Amino acid sequence: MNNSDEHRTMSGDDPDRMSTLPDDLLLHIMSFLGTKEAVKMSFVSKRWMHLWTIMPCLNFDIDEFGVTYNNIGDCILTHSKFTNFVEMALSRHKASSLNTFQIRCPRMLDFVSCSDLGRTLFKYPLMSNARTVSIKALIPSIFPFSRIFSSQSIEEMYLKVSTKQGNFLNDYSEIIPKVVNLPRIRTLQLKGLTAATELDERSITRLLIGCPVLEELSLKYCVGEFSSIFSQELKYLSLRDCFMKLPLGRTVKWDLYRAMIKKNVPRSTVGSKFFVDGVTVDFVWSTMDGALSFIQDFIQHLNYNDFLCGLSGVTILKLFGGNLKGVLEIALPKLEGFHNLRNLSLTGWCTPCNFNLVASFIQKSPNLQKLTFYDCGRHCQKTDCFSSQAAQAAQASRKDKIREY
Amino acid sequence: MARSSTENMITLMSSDGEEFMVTEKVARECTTIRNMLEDDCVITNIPLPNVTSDILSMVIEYCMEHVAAAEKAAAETAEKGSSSAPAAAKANKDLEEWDKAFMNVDVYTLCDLILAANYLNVSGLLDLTIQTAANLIKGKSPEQIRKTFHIQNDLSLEEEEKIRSQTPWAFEKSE
Repeated sequence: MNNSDEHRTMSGDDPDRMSTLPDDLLLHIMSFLGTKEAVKMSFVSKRWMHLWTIMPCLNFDIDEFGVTYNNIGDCILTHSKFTNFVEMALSRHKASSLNTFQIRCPRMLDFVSCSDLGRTLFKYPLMSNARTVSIKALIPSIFPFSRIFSSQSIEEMYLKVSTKQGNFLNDYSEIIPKVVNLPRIRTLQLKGLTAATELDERSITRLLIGCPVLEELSLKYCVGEFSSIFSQELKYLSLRDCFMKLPLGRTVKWDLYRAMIKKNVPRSTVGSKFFVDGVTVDFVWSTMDGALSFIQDFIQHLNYNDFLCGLSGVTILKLFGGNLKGVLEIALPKLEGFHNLRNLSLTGWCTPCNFNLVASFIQKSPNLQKLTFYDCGRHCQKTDCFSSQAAQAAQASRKDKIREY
Repeated sequence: MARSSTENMITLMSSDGEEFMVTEKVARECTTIRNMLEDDCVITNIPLPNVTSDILSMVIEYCMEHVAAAEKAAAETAEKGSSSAPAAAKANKDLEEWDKAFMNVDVYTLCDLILAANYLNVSGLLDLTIQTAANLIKGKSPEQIRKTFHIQNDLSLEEEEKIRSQTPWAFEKSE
């Protein structure tokens, strides 16, 4: 059959079947192309000339321009070309409803030659009622982020806004604007909000009130100062490498985790760094001298017991770093147990020496099914203690439900 | 795969009058036909005026392969109580290979398959054909694209000049 078709095609006038397809199918094909390639299609024929201007997906990616970071001259040139392209495309594109608006440009966009782009970048997804918006770029914070937080259409949003420190801090003090109105948003990821864009308790509360159906909130590399988060709908919260500034003399309670227990939240990842009085302490890992005593102070301060108690409802728990040991030695004995915990992963511990801790973790987790170790034992010299403690731990572990890696 | 005699058979008729007998299960892979069957359950003969026999036979071939794969996976799950991950991964890979081989067609047939998949609403086949068409475009110059799809360049000089001035970067030698 294929042969007969080929025969027909070859024998005819090479008919152009493709161009007879209806617009929506051609647009569907174009949605699998990057925006640069889609625009390039306008050179092909009249049929394709204007099609890209009504594409429902805009996906700008600097990689489509073959960027290299080896040669600074080339790099600047490519970024300038990319910026011009985005500006041209946005000025001519006219779809009234976008499924997806994406831009990815990890280095600085060329705002010198396209000073309006910063405005357009946030205005366009709103004008075209985009449902998924993903902006991952280095953008000066003077540009009006706040617009993007008021949209009737956005369902998913990923913002990775690396504001350049020191240069653009004047006008903008926080990423969460005064008015947040995202009635449809379910997934929100905010990454890389620097000191210029602090989150505090009020702004995070404002965010959650403005996003009434938000289910997933991920914050990464955020600087924040907040002690509790309340939400009825939130199912997934991830805080990774966030710097939490804790005011001295204040007891902090992680009410969020209490809320999560009530709601029976399925997943939770916690890997935050904490930031106290100008000194960075990762409760997850630390190479500072005297870190342990500092952490002990810090525990009193943070009311660590409360923090871990709050976690007792989680089903998946990932803990990072070596000095967690000190924290757990103090906190674990006071804890009643992790009754829902099924999946525990421990990264970067000196595991063999901490088997007592692991064992007591296991004892407190009656429903644990999977235990994973990553990067363990690197700094450990006392391997001889391994066997006896391993045996102890094995005794404590429940039958063969637990797999160890 | 042996078919039980109790299984309903449906006759699909192509635009050029050829009849294809298929099981109801295979026919239901086409959402358009499934909707017809749900509206009127005694219907056994469905004319498809938009699809030629060549293309219809290919669509049916695709649906049969995917129904068979799904049945096989279901049977394995029932047998062992749970499906083993490596076996499922292999079955998926086999089906992907089959899809890939199935897409080894000329662009004319490909376009007809896109239209048929869209009309009959076979989402798997539509995704597969659209993706294949996009892959034929990726990384090619406008001239190469014209050649691939037998497209006539009907742009006037003025139009070309206009596009050229709007997108100067497109004329650089690609890496």
